[in-house]
Order: sequence, then C-alpha cells, then structure tokens
Amino acid sequence: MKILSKIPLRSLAMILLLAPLVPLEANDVNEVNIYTHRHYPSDEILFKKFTKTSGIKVNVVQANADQIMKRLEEEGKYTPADILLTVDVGRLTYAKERGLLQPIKSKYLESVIPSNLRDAEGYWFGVTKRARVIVYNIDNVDPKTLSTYEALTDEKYKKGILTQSSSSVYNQSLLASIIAHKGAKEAKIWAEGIRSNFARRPTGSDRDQMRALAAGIGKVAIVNTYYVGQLINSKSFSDKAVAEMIGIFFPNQGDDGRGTHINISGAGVTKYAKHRENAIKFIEFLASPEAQKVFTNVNYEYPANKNVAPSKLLQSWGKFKEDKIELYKLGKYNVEAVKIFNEVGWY
Amino acid sequence: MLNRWSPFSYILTIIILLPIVLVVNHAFGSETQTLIHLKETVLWEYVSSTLILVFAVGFCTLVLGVGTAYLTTFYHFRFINLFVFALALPFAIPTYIMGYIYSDIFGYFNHFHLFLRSIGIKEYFNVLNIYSVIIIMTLALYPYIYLIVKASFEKSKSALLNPALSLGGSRKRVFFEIILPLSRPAIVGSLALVVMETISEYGITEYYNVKTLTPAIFNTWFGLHDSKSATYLAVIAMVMVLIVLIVERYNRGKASYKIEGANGEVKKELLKGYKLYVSYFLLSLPIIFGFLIPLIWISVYSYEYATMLVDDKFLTILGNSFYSSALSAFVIIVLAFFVGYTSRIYPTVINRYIGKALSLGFTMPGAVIAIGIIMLFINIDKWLIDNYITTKLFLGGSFFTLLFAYIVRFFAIGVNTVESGFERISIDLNRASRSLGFNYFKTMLKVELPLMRNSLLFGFILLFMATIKELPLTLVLRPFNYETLATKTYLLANAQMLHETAIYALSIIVISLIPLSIIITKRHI
Amino acid sequence: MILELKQLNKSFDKPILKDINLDIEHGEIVSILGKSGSGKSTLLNIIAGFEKADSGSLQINDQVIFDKKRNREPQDRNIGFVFQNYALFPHLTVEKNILFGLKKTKENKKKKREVVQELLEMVDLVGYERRYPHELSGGEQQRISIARVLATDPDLILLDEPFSSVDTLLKAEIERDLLAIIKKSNKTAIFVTHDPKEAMAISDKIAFLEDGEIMQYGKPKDIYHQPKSKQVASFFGIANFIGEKCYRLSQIEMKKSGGMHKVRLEESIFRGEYHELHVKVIVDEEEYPFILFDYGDFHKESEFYISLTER
Repeated sequence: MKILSKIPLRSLAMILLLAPLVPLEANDVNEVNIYTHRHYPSDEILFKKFTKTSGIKVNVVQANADQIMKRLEEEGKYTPADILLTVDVGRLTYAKERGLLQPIKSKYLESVIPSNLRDAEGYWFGVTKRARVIVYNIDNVDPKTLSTYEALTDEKYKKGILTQSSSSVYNQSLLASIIAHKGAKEAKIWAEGIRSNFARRPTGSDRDQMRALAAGIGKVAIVNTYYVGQLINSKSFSDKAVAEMIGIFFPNQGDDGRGTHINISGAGVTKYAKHRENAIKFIEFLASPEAQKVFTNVNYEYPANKNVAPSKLLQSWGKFKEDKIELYKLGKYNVEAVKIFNEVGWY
Repeated sequence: MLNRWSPFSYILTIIILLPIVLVVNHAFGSETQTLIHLKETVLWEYVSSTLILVFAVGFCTLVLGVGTAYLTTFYHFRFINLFVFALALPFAIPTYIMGYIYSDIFGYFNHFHLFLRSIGIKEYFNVLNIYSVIIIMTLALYPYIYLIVKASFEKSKSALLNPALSLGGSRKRVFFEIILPLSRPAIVGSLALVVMETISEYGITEYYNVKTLTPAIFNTWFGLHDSKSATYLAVIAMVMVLIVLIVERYNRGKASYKIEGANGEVKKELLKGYKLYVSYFLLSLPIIFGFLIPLIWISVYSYEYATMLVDDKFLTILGNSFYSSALSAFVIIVLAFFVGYTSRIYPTVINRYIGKALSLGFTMPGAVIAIGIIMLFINIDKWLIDNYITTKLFLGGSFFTLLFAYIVRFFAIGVNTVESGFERISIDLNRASRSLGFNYFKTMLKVELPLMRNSLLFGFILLFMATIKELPLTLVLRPFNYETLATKTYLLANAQMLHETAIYALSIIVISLIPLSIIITKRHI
Repeated sequence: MILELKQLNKSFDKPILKDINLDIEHGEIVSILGKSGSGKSTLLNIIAGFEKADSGSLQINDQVIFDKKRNREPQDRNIGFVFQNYALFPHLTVEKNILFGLKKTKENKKKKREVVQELLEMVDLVGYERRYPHELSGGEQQRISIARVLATDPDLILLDEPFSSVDTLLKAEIERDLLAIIKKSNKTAIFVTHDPKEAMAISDKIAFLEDGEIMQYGKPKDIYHQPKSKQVASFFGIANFIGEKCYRLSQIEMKKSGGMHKVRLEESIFRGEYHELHVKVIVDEEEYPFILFDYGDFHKESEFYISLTER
C-alpha cells in the first residue's frame, strides 16, 4: 500500500481526463480520409493495398450512410472527409443533391466504368454492382415458370413471396426503377400486388429470406446476389444447406425485357475535400482490375469495371441482361418509392 | 445567502441539454406534407407498435426484475450467490446481438430447426416477430430493474424487516406494504430506464421489423429525406417519456424514502420443498435464455473464428472500449453526484426536476442526438476557426465529441443511481456535519461521498456496461480509424457476417464481467 | 445574553413563526415546548442556520449572525445540534464521530485522544471508541451525539426532541443523565419538545409555542401556576378554573366535611393508583367543572368538600 501511495495518482488521473482534448492524429499531408458505409472484409484488404502501392495513408470512419452523410453536411467546408463511399445509388444521388460532392474528371474512370453506372457530371462513380434477383426453392418452383418482377404479383404466388421490409434501400431502389420505367401508378399497383402475395410480414435480412425459402416458407424471394454468394461460401453448415436448396433467377430477361435491376456501391469526392488528388487516385484504384478482383472474389459483387470479369462463382450463375437505365435517375424516385411503400402497407 | 452550487448545476444542465435543444429546434418548420403522409399511412402502426412494445417490455421486465430481486434478497437456498451474480449477466450482452443470436438459433433453417428435423419434426415457426422482440428485450433489459431494485431491497431489508416482523406482519405483508412501497424510487427509476431504452432501441426492432417510433424516425429521415419531420417524431417520443417522468416525480412529492441503520442480523427464510424447485426453475430461466444460450453461441463461434479476427488491431479496439467506457462512466458519475448533491442541499423546484431534464438524452434515439452533438461542436469549431484560434475542426470528430455524446446519452443512468442513493441518506447527517463546522463542500467530501461510495460504484458499473455496448453515437461520431468492440460487432453483424461478431461480443461480456463481479462479490448489491 | 431572537418571522404557504422574541442567558437550559405543527422545529432550524427566517434578527454573544444583510452559515455559528435521530455518521467509529468536528483544529493526535477520553468519561461510555453507531443502543447513540457536539465547544447546544424515541420506562433516567452532562459541561442548551412534563423536569425556562407564537416564556413553576391563558394552563396538566383563576391539584385539598366549597361527584374513572373524579364545585351558587385525583375513597361519596389554597 505504501508503494501505491507513492504513484502520483492525481497527476495520472488528470492525464487520463485531459487526454481526450489532445487531437488524436497529427496533420498528415499524404493521406486520404474516407467516410464509408461499406463494412466488408474486401474493403479492409483494399485500404491496405492502396496504402502499400501509393504510400497514401487511409483514414476511415465506417457508419450508416445516411448518418455519416448528415455529419458530412453539418461539417460543411471544414469536413476532414475527402471521399464518401456508400452502397445504393439513391444515397449517392441524394449526396449530390445536397451539395456534399464535387465533380471530378478522370479519363481512366470514364473509360472503364460504363456511363449508366456513374454520374453524368462526374459527382460519383459506381465501383461494384449487385443484381436484385429472384431466388426460388428448387423443390417446389420450376424456374421456367418465373419471368419478371411484375409476374410476381400474380395470384399463383399468393403467400409465396419473401422479401425484406421497405426500409431496405435495395427494395426502395427496385421500386424506384419500376417508377422510372413505368410511372408511379403502375409501380404502386406492383407494390400492392407484391404485398398481397407476402408469405409473411417482411422481416430479417436477405439471408433470412433465403433461409425461410429453404424451410419451405413461400416460393420465391427477392434478394441481392452477393448474399447468395455469402451463403454458398459460408463456413456454417446450415447456410450451405440453404444455398443448396435454392436457385437463382435473373428476371426481366429476353429481347422485350428491360433487364434485371442492378444497384451499385460507389464513391464520390466530397465538395470540400482537402486531399482531392489523393481522393481521385483512391477512386481510380477502386476501379482498377486489382481492386475489382478483390470485390468480386471476396465479396461476391459484380465488377463495375467493364474490362474485369466476375468471379468464377458469379460466372457460374450465368450471364444476364442488366437493366441499363442510367442509375442516377433512380435517385430521383427514392422518396416517391418510400411513400408508395407506406401507402400500400409494405412495412 | 449566496448559493454557489445551483449556478454550476444550471450551467452543466444547459451544456448537456444544448444538443437536444438544437435537435428540437431543428424539428421546427417540419414539412407538414411529410407529416400528413405519415399520418395517413403508417403513423398509427408506429405509435401502436411503440405502445405495445413499451407496455409489454415494461411489464415483463418489472415482473422479472422485481421477482428475481425479491427471491434473492429475502430467501436463502443453495447456490444463492451464484444466482445473485448470474442474474445480472444478461446485461453484458447488447440487445441487438441477442436478437441476432436468437434469429441465428431459432430462425428458419437454423440450428434449432435442423435439430427438430433430425428428430423427425418438420414443423417450422417464425421467430422474427414482435413477440420475440418482447422476450429478447425483456431478457436484455430486466437486469436494470433487478440490479437497482435489489440494491434498494438490501438496504430496506436490514433496516426494516426485523422491526416490521416484530410488529407482527407476515413476510408477505411486510414485503408488499412496506418494502415494496419504500423501493418505489428504485423501481420507477429503473423502469424508466427500461422504457427509455425500449423506445430508442433500433438494432433489433429494425431487424425483426417491428415498427416503433425509432425505426419510423429513420424511415422518415433516410427514406423520405426529411430530417426535420424525423426529429419531430423523436421529439414526440421524448415528450411522452418526459410527461411520465414528471408525473411520477410529482406524485412522489415529499414522501420520504430514507432508511437508516441496520436493525439486527436478518434471517433469510430458507426455501424448502416444492417452493425451492419452483424458485430454481424461475431464476434459471432468465439466466439460461438471457445469458447461457447466447454465451454458448458466442463461445462456439469465437473459437471458430478467433484466429481469423484476432490481430494486432484487436488489443487497440479492446483498449478503446475500455478507456472510453471507463472515462465517460467516471465523468458522468462525478457530475451526477454533483448535481444530485446540489438539489439535495438546495431542494428548490428547479433543482428537484433538473435530474429529469438531464435524463432527456436517454429518451431519444442515439442517432438523433448525434445530429445535435455534431451541430453543437461544428458551431463551436466554426467560431474557433473564425476567431483564428484553430485552423481546422478541433472538437468535431474528436474523441472529446464522443465522450461528450456519452455524457449526454447516459446521464439518466447516473442521475438515477445517484438520486436513489441520496434518498437513502438523511439530510440530518449533512446538517450535523455543518453545525460541526464544515461547509457544504467539505461536508460533501467527508459525509456524503463516503456514504454514497457504494451507490457511486454501482452507478459507475452500470454506466460502464451501458457505454461499452453503445452503438449509434459511437458509429457516427467517432474519429477516423477509431473502433470499439460495439462498432466492430455491429458492422460485422450488419454486413450479415454474424458468426464473425462472436469474438467481439465475447470481449464485451468479459470486460463487463470484471466490474460486475466486483460489486457483487463485495456484496454491494 | 448568549442568544437573542428579535421579531423572527417565517412562512411557507402560511405563517409558521410570528414575531418571535426570545432571550437566553448563559448557562440556562430552555425548552421550546409545543404541539406538532406549532413551529418549534422550524425555530430550532432557524437558530442553527439550516433554515432562513424571512425577517428579524438573531444574535449570539452579542454578535449578529442573522439579519436583513447577514446570514452566517451553520458551520460559522458555533452552535451544536443534537438531532432527533442522533445523526451519527454511520461510516465512522464512535471515536471518529466525536473527533469529526475537531479535525479542523491542528491539535496533535495525543491531545485529540485525550479529548475523546474525557468526553467518553463525561457521557459514561469509556471503551466504546472502536464501535460503530449501529452497534449502540438508542440512549448510547444519543450520548455519543452529545459528546460529538461538546467536542467542538459550542456556545449553544440545540436538542431536537431528544427523548422522543426513548422508551418511557427509561426516560427519567436518560433525562437525568443528559441534564447532568449538560450541567457538568456548563453549556447553554435549548430543547425542543412536545412533552410538558419533560420540559418542566429539565428546563430552567420554558417557551410555550402555539401556532407560531410564543404564548408564554418563563420558569416552569411560573408557567405552571400562573399560566397566561387557559390553553397554556391545560397543556401543562390538570387545570381547574373558578372564573379566571387556575387551581392545580396540589392546591386542592379534599375533605369529607368542613371544606370551603361543596362538591358534587358526576363521574369516577378507575386509574389504578387513584380514581379520576369529574365533579362540579359549587361556589356562590355557580357550578364549576373540576377534575380531581382521589387516592382515598372519595369516589364512594356522592358529595364532599374541598379547600383551596391560594398561591
């Protein structure tokens, strides 16, 4: 006890109390600061790779996109963030609308990223794609009977459809794409039709929809492709079993079909970026074949770079026709989509 | 008489309430269109789900919390110490993690179903619904009531049980007519914490798609891109809770809940026969479902994924969690003690309600408070930059922001434990010390501080455990590259990499266990 | 004059204290006597400084400690306070409780221990140094609480209902002990009590308080025998009146024959050692209700006589 009392406890306590006032990091010039919604293992790998090849330090805050965008907005011109990285095109267009991003010119990006996957003025660029597909229980659904998203409103799918709640941005963007193609009136009829065919009240994640499907609840589920990939490659025995019991179907194919709805994750340089050059370099890196391979192999996403082939697993699901609509158009209809969901009671 | 205490208390209150004021201010001028749309479509669903969840969780936690506290305080049986300890453990598991775990175990085509199938049962049932949410939230939150009420029972037991029994009451009557009413501040206070946390819970309600006001706030904010209407909803929720709190405080009025001294060794009644087995059964249920099953799940997957995830960053994350939780818990408990002491020595009307006002941060969803915090600090930063004091963001995005956010958020827990501690100490002790020549400050240090030691330690630990689980504020306010166990757990779970979260969830449990075992083994509860 | 109260007023929702004037001399033991709600505890708290009067002034040793401008904090008044529930610090031993108020003075340890011993001797609790308050009986706690107050050598000791929680059988003994301690220490003390017997037994003077006013202030015998009002008179025991004149039982002698006034018995109640007789006394054709205590067999008579001694 004597020894204990000799330790200057008071000064120690003061140091601990005052420590938070000292800024954590020194002013590192060669760095890039990222606000990201993505929290996948693939991204961690890529951050490390980027630092290794370019010597630029990557600083990250991962948080829910909508909240981190609010932080970005409030910080205004003093924001330390250089890049906003998020999933869902609706959020990217919203960020542009709110003046959170700045346009950039990059020959490389413009040459490898198809124009429908990026903002026409260069405010944001898609870096990966994911398709919102129909999955079915191979035991009780013949894929030949499946055709389009619209066909799911048919009587025969009564108590047959599984999907997430309307707070899923992927459902919001899917509905937005239907509004973009067919108008709000048709879209509402579609949402209404899907809702009346629900196998159960929407709940859980995309993975949970597939589990329910495997268990014989409902006939089809609307999910994102990379979740199927995750299930197949899961370490869990039960997840693998689920994966074996379901098939993937790309809807709205054929000559008269508009193609399967795709969504992106993408990045943009913030309006008040302090490290603009580094930020552009980083986005270019994300679009590079090296990074694209990581996205597709580790996270089962489709590459946005048109010169990079999807992973073997993704290829095994077959080629499909994508909905080529300029994605920025979907952002405009996001609010309307949410309102329709609320109106038809798709909770 | 110059009152130097209250101004300090007021200033602190204003600082802590500033972010909330900014948020409420933000809600003004909401677009009525959005509100009309909500009213016509989903508002009723939001409100009714919130009410159902609040009443159901409130009722269940009350029964479970008070019941377990009662059995372990007034009766004796084998392994009682083990039960006293284990009953607090579910508190170490974040609610949303428990939600994820139960869906992973009982959900379609998961462990339990496969087991049923292996023995030939093909029945399936859906667990992703409001009933499961009620059960899980009850399991995750009842320890608030158990811990706080048990601490209160323990005190009233030694002071009152023997005198009351000697007056000829049966144990049951003494409990219902004396001990229970005397524990009202503790019961109501802890129940308020449960209710507030139920309303602001986001993770599990979102995953299980129970549309309470909090997911509704996010739907409005992110989906309809109307943050003003979203905060408007948050303010509605806050006002509802506030009214309940004020009515309770008013009803409590000037009744005294002071208990002094101990009157003899209290003989606990020994449980025997069928009562013993029923008690074992009842006490085991929350432990098994609230802790053991999740723990087994967590342990299995921690083992499976440990090598993959434990890297050099792991220790940093552990350190971050420990330091930020310990520091904010310490600061909150000190400030709450100060505020509580001020309203004790100057029991003016304002001072009596100040604790309730300081609890407001707990009634709002963390993400909404985060907006207020960001606004506050960015404005201070802008002022600093405009006056050439700093050149870039100094407070915004710093660890200090995070610390302040925890203080705003969790002050309610500090106030609650401190208030119920003070209610148990006669003001005469304070007066005695002063008439013996000590001023208020020295009296505080020499009388109230040592007497409140256990309450403060208890509050510190509750705060520590709550902070280490904290998610929404940490997620959006943290500095670059700053990870805690909670953010790590959540981000992995949110990316649907549930099994990978196990090692972090396990760390939260282990870190929480250390302080918890201190209070329990030292018999402070 | 050790304590002087001048025109103290205090009200919360309604007046609690009205125009209180009170002078106390050094070495006196004064009781503030009144029913509950009479304002006596408030008065004590105001003297101690725990509550603040609305107006008036308060002097100790000819120094103003409260008036319009000044208000000394309790810690600067040098007044000792013995609480109804003794308010011993439960986290401290007896010795540390006693030394609590002494910590300020920079006397050495040995000296302090001597003081504790002295005080423990005075309150007759030598050997209790290491005990904790909850290990003591009520009476013992009270004596420690007085020792704690005496340790700081206060100008004045205030005692709030010191005997309220004491067993009636032990009350007399504890009263005697307490009085002895205070007299021994040569201190001035103010008791607050609701029990007139207690007040008369221990005080040099009694201030009788009712509805926030001091109805009478004086020596116990004076108040007992020359009460200023019927209210005061009946509060201190059986008071029989002929007109405005008060007769206590000791002034009344019962006789089977040959007394001054004729008495008619109306009711007799058996009280063990005596019978309580409710009678009518006839004086100049007028009847006055009296209560008499009969230790003999007057209750068997329907009529008898009494003689009254004037004081």
